[in-house]
Amino acid sequence: MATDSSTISAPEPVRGRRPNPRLDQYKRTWYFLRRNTLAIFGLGVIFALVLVAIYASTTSIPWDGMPLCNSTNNQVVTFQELGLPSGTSWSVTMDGVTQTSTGVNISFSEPSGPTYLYTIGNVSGYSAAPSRGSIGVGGVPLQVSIRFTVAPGTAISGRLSPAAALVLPCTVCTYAAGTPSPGPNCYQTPKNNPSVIAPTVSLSPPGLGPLPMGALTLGPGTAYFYNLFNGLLRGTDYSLLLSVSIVSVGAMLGLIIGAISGYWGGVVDEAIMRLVDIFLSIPTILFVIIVIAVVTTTYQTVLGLSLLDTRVFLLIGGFMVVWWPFYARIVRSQVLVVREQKYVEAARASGASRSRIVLRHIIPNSMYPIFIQMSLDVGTIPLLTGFLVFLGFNIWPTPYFPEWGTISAIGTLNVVQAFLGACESGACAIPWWQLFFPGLALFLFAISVNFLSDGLRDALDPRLRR
Amino acid sequence: MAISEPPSTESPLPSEPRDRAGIEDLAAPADSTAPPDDVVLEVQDLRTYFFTYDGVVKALDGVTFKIRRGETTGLVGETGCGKSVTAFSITRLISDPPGRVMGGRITFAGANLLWDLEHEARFVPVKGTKRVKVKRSFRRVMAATERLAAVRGKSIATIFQEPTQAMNPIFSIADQLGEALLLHRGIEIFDALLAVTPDDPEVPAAIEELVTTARDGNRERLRAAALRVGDAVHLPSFGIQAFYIARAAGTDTESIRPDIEHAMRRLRVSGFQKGFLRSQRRLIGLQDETNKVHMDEMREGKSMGAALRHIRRQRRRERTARFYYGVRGVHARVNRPLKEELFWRTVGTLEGVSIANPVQVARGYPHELSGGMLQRVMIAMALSAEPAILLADEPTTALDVTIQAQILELMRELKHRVGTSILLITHDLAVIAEVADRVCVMYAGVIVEQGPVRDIFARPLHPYAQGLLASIPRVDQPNKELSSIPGSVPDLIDPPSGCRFHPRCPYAMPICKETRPPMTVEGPEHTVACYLYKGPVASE
Amino acid sequence: MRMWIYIVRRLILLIPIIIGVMTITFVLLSALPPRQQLVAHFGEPPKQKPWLYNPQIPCSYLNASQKGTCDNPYYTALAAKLGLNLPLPEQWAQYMYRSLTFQWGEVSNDSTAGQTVPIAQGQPVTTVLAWLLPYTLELAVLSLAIILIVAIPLGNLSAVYRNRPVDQAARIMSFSGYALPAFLLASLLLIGFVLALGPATGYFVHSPWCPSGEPTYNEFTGSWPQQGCFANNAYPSWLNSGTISTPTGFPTLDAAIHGQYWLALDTIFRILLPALVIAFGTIAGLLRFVRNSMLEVMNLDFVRTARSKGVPEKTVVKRHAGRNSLNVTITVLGLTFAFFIGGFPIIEDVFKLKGVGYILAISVQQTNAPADFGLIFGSTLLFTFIVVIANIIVDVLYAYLDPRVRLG
Repeated sequence: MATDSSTISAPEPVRGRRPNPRLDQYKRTWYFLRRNTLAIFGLGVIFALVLVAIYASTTSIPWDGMPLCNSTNNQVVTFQELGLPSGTSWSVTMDGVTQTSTGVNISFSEPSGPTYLYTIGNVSGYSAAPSRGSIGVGGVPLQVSIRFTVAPGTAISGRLSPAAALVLPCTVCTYAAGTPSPGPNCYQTPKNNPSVIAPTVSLSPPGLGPLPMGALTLGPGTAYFYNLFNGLLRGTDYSLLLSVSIVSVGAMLGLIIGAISGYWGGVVDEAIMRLVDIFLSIPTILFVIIVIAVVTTTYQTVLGLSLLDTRVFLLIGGFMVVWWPFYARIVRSQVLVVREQKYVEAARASGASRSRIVLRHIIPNSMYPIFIQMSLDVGTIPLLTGFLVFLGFNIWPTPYFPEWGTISAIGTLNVVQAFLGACESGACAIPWWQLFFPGLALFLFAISVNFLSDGLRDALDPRLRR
Repeated sequence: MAISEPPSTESPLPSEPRDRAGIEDLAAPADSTAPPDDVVLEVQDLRTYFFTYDGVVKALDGVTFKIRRGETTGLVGETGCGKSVTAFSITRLISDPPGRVMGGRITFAGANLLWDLEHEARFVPVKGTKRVKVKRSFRRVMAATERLAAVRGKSIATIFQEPTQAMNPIFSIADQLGEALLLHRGIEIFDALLAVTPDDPEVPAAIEELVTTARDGNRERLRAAALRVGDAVHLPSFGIQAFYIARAAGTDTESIRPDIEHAMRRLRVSGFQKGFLRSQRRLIGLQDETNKVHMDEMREGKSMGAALRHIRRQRRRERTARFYYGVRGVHARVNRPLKEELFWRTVGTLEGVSIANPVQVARGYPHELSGGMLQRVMIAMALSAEPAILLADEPTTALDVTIQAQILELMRELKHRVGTSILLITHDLAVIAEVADRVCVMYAGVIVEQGPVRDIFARPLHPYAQGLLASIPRVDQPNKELSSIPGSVPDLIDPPSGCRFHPRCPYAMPICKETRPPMTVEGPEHTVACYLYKGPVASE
Repeated sequence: MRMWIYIVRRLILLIPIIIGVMTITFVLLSALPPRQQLVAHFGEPPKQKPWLYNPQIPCSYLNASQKGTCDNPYYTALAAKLGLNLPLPEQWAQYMYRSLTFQWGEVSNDSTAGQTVPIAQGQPVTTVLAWLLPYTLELAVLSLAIILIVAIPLGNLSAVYRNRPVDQAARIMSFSGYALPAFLLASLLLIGFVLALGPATGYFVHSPWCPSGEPTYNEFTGSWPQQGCFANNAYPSWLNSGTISTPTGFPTLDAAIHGQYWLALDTIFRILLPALVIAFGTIAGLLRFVRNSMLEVMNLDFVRTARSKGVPEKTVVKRHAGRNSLNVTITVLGLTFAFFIGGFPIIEDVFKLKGVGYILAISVQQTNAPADFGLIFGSTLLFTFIVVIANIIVDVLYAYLDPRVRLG
């Protein structure tokens, strides 16, 4: 049999682009990710959320507490005249009482509830619009503007009082169902609980009112409202920033420490692993809580600093401290496998320094399990902030910080308290939207992140034998 | 920490020549559809593909061969040519994603093992890539697996390449071997247990004889005496136990008697336990019936759902009646005679594969044994059912050369004793030369040459076979250059057209690129697939 | 024999962990101002002497004629007793000694915890925690039972029937469990329950099966709740008197010991809903692990060997593959035990179950009172001990299941 060595030839040198195996690996991962519908759905949702976060951080979305007007028995109804020369006397008759004034305003104090008729007294030379009307007194002080126009043929003298804007002393009011609306920005509420405002979404005409997701309060009877929709919008970028920062710092710390521990071995490895075990034995949330409690107590008594400002940083710092052990352990087990690979041995044999090996060979190849864990954790952080707030811990500078976890915790607390407290006695107003919308947002976020991480795990796993 | 003892030189348990239980009771009454009597397994045009991200790997593309009774057929080829895949395709052990047996016919005992293959999956090519999506019918795939359980182990046994990985690490050797014994010889075992007569009048005399024989230390006579004790009790494996009790007693022969009587007390099967054993026997009987129905399905090519449902219903009834045996404490007590019986049978089987301290090995775990010992255990497990065919997938590749020789010797001896046909898969030509009767040479998923070992070694016809044989270094020709076959193993996703060897073949002709050469007969029982030869086409 | 050696080896490895955790709590404790440390250890100063813990007091307290402020000898004595003036390593040693001999301080009356649970005021922390521990442990055991019963078979099924309906359903359950925070789920279930059973029978105020009410503080002293639910609403009078023996301290077991099986069932029902919430969250994470480990095991060689022996598929999955994948499951359970336990304060807070987590939650809330650090650190140490013990149990189980570990 002919076996001449001339038929054996060296492989041809590759012309053109060098095939990049890492690129192929990415393409392959993307292919498998694409096949997983849930993962694509998750990716789409997260992408949308990132867009919303960018929008929210660039435009200013109002998130101030809107003071709620108290509903007491008597309300002030103020009639304001426009168009009369100053000093002219005019009068209003309401509920049998006539008041005259030369000033701009005439005020009545009426019990809320029924509808009152009013008439404007005649002023010579001017016609009033409206000259009579009816007004429902609800839970809010009211203002009615009476415009006096010059009757034709009358001479004008004196200075006209300036046109005043219709100003309500408080911007948001509530009125009970069954009574007419006292004015704009007044929302109907159930009878017993006048301080909750349901989502103002109407079907005919279709549209979102000013509070499309309802209002957020800190329980019945408080003085301020927050627009839940705005809060969720603003919260998007806070939540995303918080999660991403905590997770990436934790992952990086864990990566470095785990790589060092895995590669160096020996005493260093043992020591770091004991440290990791210690951290993993303390329940996460407890640790963060305790750190915050201790440091704020110390600050408060020793340094007198405003404790609410430090709390946020303590929270973030505490989470980062607690988070890296998970990653360190994962990375270490991966490094132990990578360390035995032939290419590491080859690198060592060709004289690469330890740090070069760790940086260029070990770390890039041990990174894959972290991605999965990172994507899972990103979804968990807002939940953890919610936990902390739910326990009654004030982490943020204000009690209503627009962050998803916080808002959902507050909402849940409200709903549960309203439910168990007020509902025991019959008809109650449960602010279901305070639980539903933030919860839905959190759920959507966490579940899309989960879908994505699961898709990543299936795509990156070499053992699932495709 | 591996226990690695040299094999014992004493002869294994004497045994009567057994008939091939693996095939006799499964074979249909002789009729015209059965192949000629000496062909046990016939593989025709077997195709197995693997559907991966990079494309469809055509691992087997039309493999045809026969295995004859009592013969060792070798399957040789380079790594990656599809030898193991062939063996696994026969019993459908291919991991189903990503692999899939695509077509062909495997005839065994008159049945087509690949019946109903077409309905199991549909194939949808993905445009623009070399990938193909496989849509499997889960139900049918599961049904196929169940059908083949009728054949696996009992009639076609397999031993694997890496014995250290092939055993379950959390169960002891006795457990795993016992499982095999229970599955394949269950009826026999239960009958033996139910027929035990510890109070037979012959027993004390047999024990006395054992004690006397133990005193003079002759191993052969001791064993014979122990077996007589077993016969007296009507439980053959008790003889094995008696033998080891006697050996353990050592010089203190007086303790043999009480020890044996203590062991015999455990044999007294109470009525409760008898009930359990009878119901287990019934269940095994139902399993055998199921196997028969499955074989009939494959033989006649039609599904026998009604018969299977009937058996399933009976089994369910059996299980509900047996429910109260499942309680933890009860189960252990009721199971004990069975476990003991299985243990001592295991010990006997281990003796049969020449393991020196079978009791210790049986009680131990797989991680405590060396590769050679484990391979013996695997062989014991495979041959415990006395199957018609043993598929040996590179059994000696992971072992040392010395152990290799022992294992091969063992296989040869067992083949003679039991009468199994062996399909020996290896890349080592020396092993083939040593053990095989016939050889099939595989290349890139097809068989290129088949024939008796002597013929192939003396006169290799196919250029690939010639290259293989020429590349073996010869001690008697020291100055010859080491030759090799130029080129490398072809890509199985895009195999070369026509004859798969043509890119590397020194005699390539234009026709080789176009069509695959058919198998032509070039000598008695010697076929080759090459356009160099113009013999008559081999008929199937 | 080798098993014991293995267990002892694992126990020895746990000692550094305990020491490490105590060191961390020590570091945090010593970061507190001295007054807090004194309060944490000795309890609140008595009402008549609120100046007891101040380092400086008006000299007139000591000597009526003196003016100005003097050093407070009581403070000095107490601080010396606590070791506050010693260098840090010696303080650490003292703290170690105190922690290991269970001298964890006292509950302060003025804290939130002290005011919410009046019977705990002034008690040593260990005593209060010992009262509360059985309830937490019962909750933990019930949750673990539910988790194991649901997660392992479901995970195995998901792996065997990959991408079929079972797998999809399990996937949805696991994702939603992950995505729903425990407080949300707990609140939703609470509301659902209350809605379902009418407003008058809110779950934890009036348990739906026991309309007579939640156990009162009398539980701390060992008496039974007023009325039962299934047992004709009447207990024998001696049970109501408050002098029942509680041999084990666990309500369910004690009820069973006394023969009150319906009451035992009732105690289980009380913790069923919180256990379900906890289990749901943990199963979510565990299910994926069980599934993946099962998938991995099913691809191993010995499964193929078992199939080639002719073992029926069901037995292959259950016996050969299932037992092997149990190892990974138990390891993961051990690793995530800390997370599992960490959720207890919130669950107990929502459902008002009086366990260790509950008291931790309220002592942390600090609404208008200082935090009770004795309780906080004490319960943290306790939780950590529970986690450590759980790890020991996991190791022992591991040895039992895997002979490779047991026999070297």
